[in-house]
Order: sequence, then structure tokens, then C-alpha cells
Amino acid sequence: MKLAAAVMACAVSFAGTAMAQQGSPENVEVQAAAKEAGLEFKDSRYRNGDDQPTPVVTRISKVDWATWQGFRRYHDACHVCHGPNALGSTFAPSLADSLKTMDYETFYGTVVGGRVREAGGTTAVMPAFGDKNIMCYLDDIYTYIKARSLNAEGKGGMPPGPSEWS
Amino acid sequence: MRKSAIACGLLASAAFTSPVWANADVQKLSADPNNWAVQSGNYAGTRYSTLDQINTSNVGSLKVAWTFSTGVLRGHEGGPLVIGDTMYLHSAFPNIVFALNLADENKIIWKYEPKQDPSVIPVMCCDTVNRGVQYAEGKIFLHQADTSLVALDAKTGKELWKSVNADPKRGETGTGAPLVTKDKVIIGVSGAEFGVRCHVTAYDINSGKKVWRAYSMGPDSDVLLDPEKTMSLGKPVGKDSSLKTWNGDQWKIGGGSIWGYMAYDPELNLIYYGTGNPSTWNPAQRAGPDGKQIDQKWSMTHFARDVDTGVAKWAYQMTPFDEWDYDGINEPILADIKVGGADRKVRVHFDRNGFAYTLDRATGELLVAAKYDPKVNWATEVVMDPKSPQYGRPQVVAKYSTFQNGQDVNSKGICPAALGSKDQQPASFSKLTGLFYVPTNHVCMDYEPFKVSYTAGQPYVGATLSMFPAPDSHGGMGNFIAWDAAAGKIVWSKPEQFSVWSGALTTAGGVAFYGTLEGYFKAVDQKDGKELFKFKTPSGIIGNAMTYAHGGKQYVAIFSGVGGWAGIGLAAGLTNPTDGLGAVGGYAGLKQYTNLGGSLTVFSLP
Ligand code: HEC
Repeated sequence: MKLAAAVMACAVSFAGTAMAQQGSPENVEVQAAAKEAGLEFKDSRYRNGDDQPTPVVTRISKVDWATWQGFRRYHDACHVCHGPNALGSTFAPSLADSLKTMDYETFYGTVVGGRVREAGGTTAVMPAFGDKNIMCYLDDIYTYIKARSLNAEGKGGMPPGPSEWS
Repeated sequence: MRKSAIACGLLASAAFTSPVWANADVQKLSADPNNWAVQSGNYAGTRYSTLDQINTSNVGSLKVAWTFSTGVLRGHEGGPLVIGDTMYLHSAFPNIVFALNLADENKIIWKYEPKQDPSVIPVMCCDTVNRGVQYAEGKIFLHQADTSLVALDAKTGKELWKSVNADPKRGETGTGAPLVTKDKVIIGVSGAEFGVRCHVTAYDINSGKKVWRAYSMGPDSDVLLDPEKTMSLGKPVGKDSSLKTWNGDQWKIGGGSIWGYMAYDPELNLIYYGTGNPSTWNPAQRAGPDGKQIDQKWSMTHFARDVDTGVAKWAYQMTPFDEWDYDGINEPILADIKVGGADRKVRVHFDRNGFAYTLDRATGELLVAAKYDPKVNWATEVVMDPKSPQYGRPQVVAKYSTFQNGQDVNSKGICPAALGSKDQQPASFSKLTGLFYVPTNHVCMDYEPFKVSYTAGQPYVGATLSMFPAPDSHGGMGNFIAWDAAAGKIVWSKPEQFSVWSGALTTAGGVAFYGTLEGYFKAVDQKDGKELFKFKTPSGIIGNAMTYAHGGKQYVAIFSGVGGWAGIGLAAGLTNPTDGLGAVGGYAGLKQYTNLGGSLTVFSLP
């Protein structure tokens, strides 16, 4: 499944991606938090022991680049159905809740394959996504939603953003 | 070439129309206050009724008379029509239409359920709403989600004809109510978030044949502009007015959706409506060849068009080169009021961009443009001096320009948010007070545009935004206001906890009615906004209040059924900007107040 994204030629040259790829250090506090959590920076993002994309959130809510990028892309492509901050809407479920239990593969498969479900006379449709605006950032989006799922209720789930990094 | 096409249009309509045009039928029906024969109450779109049995002194004792469930869980916008003994109402997708017998226990006379491919559901940005059916000459017109336009026999529900307006596979969908004038039924199309070049199209009410189509952008022959005769701000628009204001052929994926309520002036033979945002939301990708902003005509524009030919009489662009998603689709309301001491035939609309515009509806002359929410900050004013090169243009504040700040920069604290100071929820003009009653949003945003690529049928948005209640205000996300369209002033403003996403109704009884997202149906005094009645309906309200009389008794009714953009944006609660993005909890979410389900609640005096 990861192949799909790679084949798509995601070189939509992007300031942030470029920065991360050049191995430019993340914010120092983020680096420290990642180290503390035992995460490794590999293929332009932090990953856990299973090689899966993993968010880094510092105590004062700063995050790694991938999570930030995911925040932006989520609010471009997903929030019109799943609601702001991945917390759900009248139309589609809270993904922050979903990722409390859903694994990376199922998440990936749902976005690529879509889903149609009949419930109480109403058809719920999760569209299948395939274009680069989403596929090139799906790992980022996953990372962001994962961050939300770890801290969906309280304050400090998300960062003020890179423009305010010190 | 273009001229001859228009001539043909004229001939065709002259040859095939019956002597009694639908407008005569609809005008007659809507002049009888017992009916509610048009979604907006009447062609002028005033949503005002002369019924006064329910009035400021007795509205407090309203009781529920009866209710009806559509059986559909999605957001319910629009409302029912009443003609004589029959009520017609629709549901959100799958767009079921019901005819109910008001004379016999509100029994279902017929039910029509179209078969639509569910793949249209995810391309309808922000819920599968529908803004209602229309009636004329014994027919009900339904504009389906999949863009099919259907004429039903009003007596039996039998399908008389069906025309396919556009293609959902390309992201083209239908949510707007049709407008039926003369022998034509007119509909728009949505899809600016998918890079669709949108249009309005007129169909013959008897055959379903396409009569004319006017695109929001493109060559003059597509937009139906007459370079010499179509006016904008007192001047002819000139040749290629749209093409000249786009970079290369970006107009081909230019957006400009049309999904708001439209109005019609039978004397002037003109229809009125507005167009939405240019695609994408990232203004940098739409800049001119020189890298500077460029108008992108005729997105974000209010048009007056000849009913018979579709040719534009005038056009006025509210937000040239949109940088905030301030769709110009909000409904025009036709009123005859005194402006600057003179009697004027105006059309007023409350734009998403936070300015209320009063224009002469015959000529398009700009009379008043003023902020109807004091928090609006993205522009200082609209220049009113006809001699100024900036005439009619908003003066953008650099700090809030998402274009000047640039791609990948988060522009903060912009008011209003992309959902506008008002969205689709129609306002009402009260003949009693001469004022407009406007359901508004009081929400601001941070907006960060970035690069996206276009793929047909895929979302083409290109910005991320986060919304929050207007800072340093009452903390709520909405207001219900009374507006003086001649002076450009707020008369009173009643704070609401959530955006007011429901269409208003005013009556000769001195009452203004509207619903709230929590689900309250409210009655307030037109004079001062004092709350006289409220009742919690089964679900949050994004439908429009309406009134009718049957058997000598006045009823007021409203759809509840939370959803729409409001249900998506506000379900979980907004963030507090000072807490950083995504710090949720500071503000209540809608889901604590209400749940899904479309139903109609009808009230009367005991
Ligand atoms: C057009 C609306 C729409 C858009 C846009 C959308 N979704 Fe969905 N999504 C849905 C609906 C509706 C469901 C629920 C389907 C069901 O009930 O089975 C869903 C379900 C899901 C699920 C499964 C949740 C669960 O708990 O089972 C995931 C994961 C998901 N979406 C991810 C995404 C991501 C990531 C994006 C953005 C790239 C996205 N969606 C964009 C409508 C949408």
C-alpha cells in the first residue's frame, strides 16, 4: 500500500517536506520528546518500533513537522466531513476516536478503498481517495489524527504551528 | 454568433409558451397568504406573510399542532410549500418528496423517492442537504443531489419529465432550490471545491428541454454577456470581461457555484442570483501572469439576467480575487424602500464577506455597502465614490490578505470565517417595519493556503482553516439581527450561542421567527428582538421558518434536522484561538445539545 504513494511521484516540492528530507533538525524540544519516547526519525518522519508513522507532541503542544503537515492536509481534505480537529461531525465519525483502536493498515485501507454503509435508511459513504493531494500526505494525516486520538479531549492536542516555532 | 444564439432563444420561448405563464399562476398563489407557494414566500424572496392571527401578544402561547418525520438523518435545509389543502416537502438525500393532505389528518397523498447513485454523496461538499422543491402549474420541481431536474405531477407524484443538468463524476452536484418563472425552471450547480466551471440553466417547464445556460466564467457567449449592454457599476462590461481576468485557461476549472435562493422581478423580467468562490482556495495558484491579484470575473458576483434569454442586464462582483472562500451566493431580496430620501426599487443581500449590499435592481447601481457584523475586519470599506478607480471594491487589510501573506503562511484572526457572516440561511424583509431580519454567524478564522493539484472529480481545495467564535464579543457564534438597508445600520442584535443557520420569517403580526442549531424554534418581536417564545424541536435547525393558514387557522412550521456545513463545523465545538489550534473544550459542541433526524414541527395557537 505504501507503494501507491511512492509511485505517484509526490515530489510536489514542498518547503516542509524538503526541509525534513534534508535532515534539517526538528525543533529541539520536539527532538528531545521524540528521544524520550524512543522514536526514530526515518523516511522524513518519526516512526515507532513497528516502523509506523508516530506523532511527537511536546508538553507545551509543539509537534513534529509531519504532524503539522497532517494537520493542514486534514483540514484541507477530511474536515469537510469529519469535522474540525478530527473530532467528528453530524456527517462522519470522529477519527480521533477511531484511531484509539484502529490500526495503521486499516486506516490506510479505508482511505484508499472507501466504504459504503447503510444505516437506518441513510447511506454513509466514505469516498476512496487516490489523488496526490491526499495520497502524498496520508502518512502525515495519519500522524496528525493519531496525535488527536492520544489527546482528543483535553487541551494541548495540537500545536500553534511551525510559524511560531522558536 | 452569440447574438444569433440569443435571438433563437427568444424565438423558441415565444413559440412554445402558453398564454398563461407559470409566473402568473405562482404570483396568484403566493399573493394568497393562506398558501406558502414559493420556498422564499414569494418571487421577491421577502419571506414575509400578511397573516397576523399569530402576533406579538399571543405568540407566547403557541403549541405544537402536529409533526412529521422524513425518515432521513441528514441535514434538512429549506422547508415545505403549502398550496390549498396540500403540503409538499422534501428530505435531504435521497431527496424524497411527500405530498400531505392538510384536510385529512395530514395523511401522505403520495411519496416520490428518486433512485440516485450513492457515489454522489461524498462529492457534495458538506452534507447532502437540499433547499426545497418548487411549484408551478400543477407541477412540483425537484432538483436532485445528482443534478437531475425532475417535474412531478403535483396531484399524483408521477414523474412527468427528467433532465440531467450536470455530472457528479466531475464533482457537479445539486442542492439549490429551483426558481420557476414564466415557462422556465431555473437551477444552478455546485462544485467549486472540485474545480467545476459552474452555471445556471433554464429548462422549459413543460418539456424539460434546455433553453439557455449561463456560465459563471468564460467567453462572453458562455457567460451570456453583451459587451455593450451588460452593465457593471454604471459601465458596459466590455468584450471578454471574464477571460481577461483569469490567468490562461484557469477559468475552465474556475468554480463559481450557484446554490443560493434566487429572486425574480416580473415587471423588469429579471432574475437575480449570486455566484460562489473561484477554485482553488489557494489564491497564489490563481494569480495573474504577472504574479499579482486578478479579478476572476464573474465569480463572487451578483447577476441580474433576462428570464427569456439569460443575457445579463448587470453584474456586480463583491469580492474580486477571493482569498477567504467568501462565496457570493447569498439570496437577493427585492424590496421597494426609500434610500437617501428617494423611492428605490432595490435588491438587498447579506454577503458571506460580511458586507450587506443594497443595489438598484433595475440598473445594478451600488447604493449601500456596509458591514452587518461590527467584527468584520478583512476589509475596511467598500469604496462608494464612482470617480474612484476603486469604486465598488472592498479595501483589503494587508494583514488579513491570505494572498499578500503568501502560501504556507497562516493568516490569523480573519473575520468572518469562510462560512461567512451569513451562509445559505435566507433573511426576511418585513413590510411592517421596513427592516431586514438576518440570521448571522459570528465566527472568525485562521487561514493557510497551500499548493494543490487538480484532478477531475477530486477535491480541489488548497487551504486549511480553523474557526473560533469572534473574539472580544459575547462568546457566542451567532446573532439574529434587524438591519436597515437604506442606512446600512444594525437596528438591534440578539446574541446566539451558535451560528443562526435557519431561514427567517416575518409576519404582519409583528413577529420574526427563526430556529437555532441547538434546536430551538424562536419567536422574537420585530421591534426590539425581545424573545417571545421558544420550543426545543427534535433536532438542530438549519431549515427555514414558514407560515400558512388552513381552515381559518394560522400555522408556523419549521424543519429540524441538524447537519449542513454548520453540523460539520460546529458538532464537536470550536477552538479557542489563544489556546493554539485544536485545543478543544473551551466552547460547547453541538453534539451536546442535539442529534440527527429530519422532521417538521408545525405550531398553532391552542
Ligand atoms: C465526503 C465525506 C468524507 C470525506 C471528505 C472523508 N471522509 Fe472518511 N468517512 C466518511 C464517512 C461518512 C465515514 C463513515 C462510513 C461508515 O459509516 O461506515 C467515514 C469513515 C472513515 C474512516 C473509518 C472510521 C471508522 O471508525 O471506521 C476513516 C479512517 C476515514 N473515514 C478517514 C478519512 C480521511 C483520512 C479523510 C481525508 C483524507 C476522509 N476520511 C475524508 C466521509 C468522509
